[in-house]
Amino acid sequence: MYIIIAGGGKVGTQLARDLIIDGHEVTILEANPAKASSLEDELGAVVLGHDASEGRWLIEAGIARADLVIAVTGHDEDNIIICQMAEPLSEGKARTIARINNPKNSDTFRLLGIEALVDATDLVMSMIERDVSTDSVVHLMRLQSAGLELIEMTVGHRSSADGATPDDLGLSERGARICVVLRDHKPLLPLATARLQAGDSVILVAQTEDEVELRRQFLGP
Amino acid sequence: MYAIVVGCGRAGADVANRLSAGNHAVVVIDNDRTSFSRLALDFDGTTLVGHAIDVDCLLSAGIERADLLIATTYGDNSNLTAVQIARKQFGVDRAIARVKDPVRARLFGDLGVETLSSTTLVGQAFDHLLDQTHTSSTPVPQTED
Repeated sequence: MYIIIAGGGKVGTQLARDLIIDGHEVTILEANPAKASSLEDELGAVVLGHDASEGRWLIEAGIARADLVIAVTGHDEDNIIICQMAEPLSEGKARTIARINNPKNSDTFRLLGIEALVDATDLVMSMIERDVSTDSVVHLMRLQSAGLELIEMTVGHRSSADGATPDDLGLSERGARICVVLRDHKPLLPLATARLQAGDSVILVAQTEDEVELRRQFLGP
Repeated sequence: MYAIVVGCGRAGADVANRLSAGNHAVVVIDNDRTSFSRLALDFDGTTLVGHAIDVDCLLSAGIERADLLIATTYGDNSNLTAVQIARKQFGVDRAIARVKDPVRARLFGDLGVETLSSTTLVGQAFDHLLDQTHTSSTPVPQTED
């Protein structure tokens, strides 16, 4: 893939390193000349020392053939505008991902049509939730626009799920689906007829409104 | 008319002064309190310290009943974002962004955002002046090949 990264701060730099290692073609735009030249020393000729929100530099960076634009500057208004410009400049071909710096602005990103968002605050919160989770329910990812959640739960002893098949639990009727079952740290493909057992770690996709009911079924008394 | 001017630099202060002199209700927003010193002594509107794209700040400025928003900060992106919030979220009748980058001005113009490119305006004005000079008053010095 050809990927343009707007913003050469810590996030942009680390992304560039990882993406280059993964074999992608990368251009990184950084407006601060000192930062840009030290980036160039490290990453080579993939750095453009200019402001990514200035149209001509996005064009110069080859946005017309870009598959992905990642806007990770420290300013939300810059990330918004860069993503909005990427659409017409790539004739709708480039996908965009934006970083949110201030969680307060997340509605504005969505209002302006930017759906693929990375909110550092949200990520930190979900990691904290994961670490301190007491009820064996972890939200892996919020698929908000579709009203879906990706949830990890551990089947509790004497819960309704203990010894039941996904069909017994009526999952498919509710549009919920088990993606994978981890038993003794080994992944099992979830068959509709295979029985779950206490201690299984289950990753499932479900509608947000069904979460409470699922929690009751899987965690038990 | 109820108008919000975002950014109280030279251009913003000038627009705000004009609107106020024209008996319109004006609120000026800037994140630096000292910029309000650019407003005229007889400026009759209100001032608010805040950031252009902060929805809470725009709400305090009364954006829900505003007829006009003019965004004149030094940041093109702040101006374009503020104007889009005004139009899409609050249905403000008219919202205009000052945009220095001509490419950005054209792109957002195509997206239906009203922009004023100061760079293009100045360029055109110089062109116009030079045309007048060349055709009417002083003859253009000819260089020999």
